[in-house]
Amino acid sequence: MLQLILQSVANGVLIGSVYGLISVGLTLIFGVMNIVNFAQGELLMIGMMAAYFLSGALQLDPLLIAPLVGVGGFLFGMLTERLVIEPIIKAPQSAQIIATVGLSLILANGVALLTGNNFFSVTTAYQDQSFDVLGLSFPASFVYAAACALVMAILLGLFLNKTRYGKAMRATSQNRYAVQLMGIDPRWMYMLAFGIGSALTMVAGAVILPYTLTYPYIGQHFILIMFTVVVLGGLGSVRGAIIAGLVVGVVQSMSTLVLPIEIQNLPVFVVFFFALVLIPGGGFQRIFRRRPN
Amino acid sequence: MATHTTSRAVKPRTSAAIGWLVFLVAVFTAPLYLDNQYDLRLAILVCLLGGASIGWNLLGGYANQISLGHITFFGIGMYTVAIFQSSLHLSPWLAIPVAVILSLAVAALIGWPSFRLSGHYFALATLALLPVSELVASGWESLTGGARGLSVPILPSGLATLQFDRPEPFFYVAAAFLVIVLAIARLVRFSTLGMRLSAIRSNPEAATLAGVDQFRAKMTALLISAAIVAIAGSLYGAFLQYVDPRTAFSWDTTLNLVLFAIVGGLQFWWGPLLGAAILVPVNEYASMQLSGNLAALGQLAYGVILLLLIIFQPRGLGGLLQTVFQRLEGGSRK
Repeated sequence: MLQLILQSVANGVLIGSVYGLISVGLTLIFGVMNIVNFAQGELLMIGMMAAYFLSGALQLDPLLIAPLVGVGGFLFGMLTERLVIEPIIKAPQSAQIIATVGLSLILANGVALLTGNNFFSVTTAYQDQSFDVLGLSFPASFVYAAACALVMAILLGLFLNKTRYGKAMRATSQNRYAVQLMGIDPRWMYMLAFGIGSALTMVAGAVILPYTLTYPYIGQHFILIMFTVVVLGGLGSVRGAIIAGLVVGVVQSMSTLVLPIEIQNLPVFVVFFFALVLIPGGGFQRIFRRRPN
Repeated sequence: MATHTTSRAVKPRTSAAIGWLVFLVAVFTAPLYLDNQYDLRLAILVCLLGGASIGWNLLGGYANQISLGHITFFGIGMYTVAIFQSSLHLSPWLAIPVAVILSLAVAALIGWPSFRLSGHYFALATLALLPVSELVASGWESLTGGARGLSVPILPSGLATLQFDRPEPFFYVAAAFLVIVLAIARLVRFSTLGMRLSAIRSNPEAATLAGVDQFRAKMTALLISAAIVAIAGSLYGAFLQYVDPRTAFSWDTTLNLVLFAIVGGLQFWWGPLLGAAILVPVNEYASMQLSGNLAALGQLAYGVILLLLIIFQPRGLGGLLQTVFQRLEGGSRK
């Protein structure tokens, strides 16, 4: 029994680190731009699709394609911000929600038109391998994905804390008017933040492809997990999102011990609901408070 | 629509009354000029979905609180009617109050925590409603029939069973629902509650300063709108005589409600009806023409319309009409 519990915690940590990576993009965009991007799930889907077709065309593993997907995602995100988000950045919140929901429809159905509503998955050399440590087994594809997530999180942390642009971006998230006086153009920061947010989520799509499958409408499936993670971690908090990702992963994985697998998302929603009820301003932000939101 | 524009004229009360009269006559004589079953079916859909969208708009349009889970109440209505008719052998009319009470409970459960938090939390919370309801509906097989859904048995036709051998009688039921909902929407719009919601929409902080209890106003609007959508869903369930988790809690219908309101004009009480009257037939036509992979084309068009409208014409067609009428009136005075 202890073995089972430990195993499911381990699985949860592996999945959860990827949940963190998926959600960091959403929370970064929210923190800097004060926009909830309802199309973030579709960005993940596009990352998965891009990794699938590129790895087929170039005969490379999706994990090696991931940096390429990241660069593409960055450019795609910047372009999208310019065309779709920029016109509504000062519009009422409802207009922003509707615009990003519209964007998610366009992306999901645009891809469905191009590829057909089919399932795609890759085969890799390591898909049946696993690492056995202390009697626990860690599937290789999950371990690699979690390692990529860790690398991305470190890179993002370095960017935000050590570089001029990262500091400017954090300043923009604190006060978008004051930064203008400091010579920072917030519109450029918005493009950059949306580009980086998109890139992170698309890279996440590429690294999870080896252990899952993709189809044009898979974004809807992931968006709720993203929202749960982001709300639990505190809207706009990068560190909170990574920790909350781990929590959600472990909760989901532990719940499969007692609940049938079809309803493994139900406990996630319960967590989501309690995050809303119990903790004003979002969960972990209270523990790791850096600034009032 | 006519009522709103003419109400700005010299004798608002008389012209509003004339507007309502014209509207009522036009609606209730519809079976005379929509003489085939297909058109009448579309008219029923316009009444029910348009009515639901008007309900959504009480919160989404009046107060700017976008709900992405209102179809949950619609689905609760559909399921309650189906369960009442197939398992309990009770009249659908008894199911409607039950559906309303269930929906109010769910609405209170979601509104209570999220309206206390500012900003985005309500939209986020409502988005979680649909998948949870779908999980419950497909998981609780003894009650809901699981993924296969429930079919309502054929009963003797009549108003008591809401089953008819011709579509006309059901159309009158749906039209009566629509007229009542419109009247409620008009009433709320110009009531104290409506003013409070408008204040919240245009400036939440200033509204609080002016003494508006935001939580209470939003909550009241949410409860009214949830009840309206639940009744619309109950009637829709009685009309389809079938329900399964996918049709009851569908993301497409959610988007429809939002799109009707945006196309018609969010801040007009009649806006969603205008949107539904245009888009329901377009939608039906498109889904007949586009099949297979092309089905995505219709959804793609939805996304494009949403984006273009919200960027270039956020006041919807209603706003466009209002501008045109104001120009005409201004022109005639000169």
